[in-house]
Amino acid sequence: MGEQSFVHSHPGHGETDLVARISGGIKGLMHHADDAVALAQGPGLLQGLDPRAKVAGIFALILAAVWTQSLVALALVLALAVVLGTASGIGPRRLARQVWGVVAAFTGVIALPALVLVPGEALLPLPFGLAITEQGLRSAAFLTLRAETTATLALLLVLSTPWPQVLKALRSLGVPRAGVMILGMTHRYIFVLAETTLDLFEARRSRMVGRLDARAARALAMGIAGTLFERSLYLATEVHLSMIARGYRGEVHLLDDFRFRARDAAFLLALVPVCLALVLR
Amino acid sequence: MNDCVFRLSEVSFSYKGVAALSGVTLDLPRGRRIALLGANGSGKSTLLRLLDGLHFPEAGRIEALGAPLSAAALADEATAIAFRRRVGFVFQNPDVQLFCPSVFDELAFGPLQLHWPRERIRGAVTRMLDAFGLTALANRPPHRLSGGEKKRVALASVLILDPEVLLLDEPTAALDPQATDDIVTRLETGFGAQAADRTLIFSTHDLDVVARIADHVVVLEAGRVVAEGPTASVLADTALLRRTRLLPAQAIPAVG
Repeated sequence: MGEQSFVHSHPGHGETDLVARISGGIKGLMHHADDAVALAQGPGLLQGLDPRAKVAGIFALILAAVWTQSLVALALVLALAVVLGTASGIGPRRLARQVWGVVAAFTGVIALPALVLVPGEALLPLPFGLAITEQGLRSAAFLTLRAETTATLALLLVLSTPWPQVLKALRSLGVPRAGVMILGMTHRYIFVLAETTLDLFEARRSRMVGRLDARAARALAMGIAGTLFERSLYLATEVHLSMIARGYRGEVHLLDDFRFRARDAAFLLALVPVCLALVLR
Repeated sequence: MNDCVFRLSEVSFSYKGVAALSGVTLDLPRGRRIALLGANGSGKSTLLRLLDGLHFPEAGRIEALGAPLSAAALADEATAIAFRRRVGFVFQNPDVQLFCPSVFDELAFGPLQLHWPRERIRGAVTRMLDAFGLTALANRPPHRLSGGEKKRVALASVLILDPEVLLLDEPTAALDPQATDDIVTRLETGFGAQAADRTLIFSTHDLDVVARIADHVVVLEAGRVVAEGPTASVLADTALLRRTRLLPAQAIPAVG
C-alpha cells in the first residue's frame, strides 16, 4: 500500500465500514511513517546535506514562493522542487500521490469560486450571468500553485530528513526550545495515540458480530474519541512526571552534533540567486 | 536503622478521596535490593512515586538520603538536581518515559537536564547504547521499538545517570520470557554489582522476579505494609502470599 493512501481495506468488510476504514487508516499511517524513515535514511542529494542547511534553504524557498508575484517564477520553483526530489529518490509519482492531489482537492474548494467571484475581464461566459474572469483565473492559479509549491518543498524536507534531525536543526537555527519540544512530543504522541486508537477500535470490533449500520458506527467513533481524549490527558500527566523524574525543570536541553561541509555551503549559495530572483521579480 | 535511603513515617496518600496508602511507616536500608510486593491496587506504584518526589504525602513525612523530601525542598533547583542525580525512576509504561525523537536523544535527555558537559554525555550515551545492545537502534524513534526494546531503553535512560538509588515500577510487566530474563539479568548483574551502596527498589507481583533479584521484601496490601523481611522468609510464608492475592487461592495441581 505504501505511500499511496492511508486507507486500508479490511478483509471481509466493505470499504464503507467506517470503523474498518478508521482502523485501516491508522495502520496506513504507521506504514507510511516507516516508509518515510527508510527514505530519509537512504541515499540521495538532500539526504546527504546538513539538516540545518536543508531547513534554512527550503524555508527560504518557501518564503520566496509565498512572496513572488510571478506565476512563471512559481512554476519554476515547483520544477526545481521536482528536480531536487528526483535526485533524492522522491519522484514525481510520489509527489503527485502524497501532495499534489490532496493539495489540489483542498485548495480547489477555495480557488474554484474565485474563478467567477473575482471581478475582471470575462474569459468564458457561464449560465446565470456568471463568467470566469481573467483576474479570477489568475488568483485561482496563484493560490493553487503556491500551495502546491510550498507543500512540495515541505514534504521534500521531511521525507529527506529524519524527524529528530529536523527538530535539532530548528533548535540550532534559533527556534525556541519550547516550540521544538512541543513539535517533537506532538509527533511522538501522535503515534502513541494512534496505536491506542487502533487498540480501542480493534477491541470493539473483536466483540461485534456482523456490521454496524452507519449511525452506530458513527456513535462508536464518537465514543472512542471521548475515551481517547481522556487517555491523552492522563498520558500528558504521566509524561510530565517522567520528565521531572529525569531532571526536567521547565527548560529542555538538546544535543547538537551537526557538521556543516562544503556541499552544504554550495547548496545554500545556489539557492541565494533563486530566492533573490523570486523576491525581486 | 541509621543507614537508610528512605524513611517513611505515617505516610498517607489518596487519589480523589480514594486511599492509596494509609499510615505507612517504613525504613528502606541502603545497599539492598528491595521488592515492594503486592497485588494490583495495593499501593506499590504510588509508594514509588512518593519516594521519587513525584507526589507528596497528604499526611506523614518522608526522608530521602538524610533530608526531608517535600514539594518545598524540591522547589529549590540545587536540591532538585542533587536529588535527581542520586535517585532514578523507571516507569512501568515505557511509552510515558520515552518521549524523545530518537533512542540516542532519549539516553541523552537526563544528563542534559542535569547539566553534564556535552562530551561526557556523548561518551556516556555511546557506552550505554553498547552495553544495552541498542547501538543499531540509536537513531530509531522509540515509538517504533518492540515492548522489550522500549523497556531496555527506559532502563538505560535512567541508568546512564548512575543513580545511587534505582526505583523501578513493575520492570518486567507485559514482557515475554526472554525480555523478562534480559531485564532481570541486567538488574541482577548490572546495577549495584560494582558498588555495594547502590540501592534497588522495585515493585512487582511476580514472585519469580522477587526470588531472583531481591534480598529484602516489603509486602503491601490495600495501601498498608503487612509484612517485611528477608526474601526467603517472606516467600516461604504461603499463607501470607495467599492472603495478599500473590498466590492462587488454591494450589494448582502439577501437570503430568
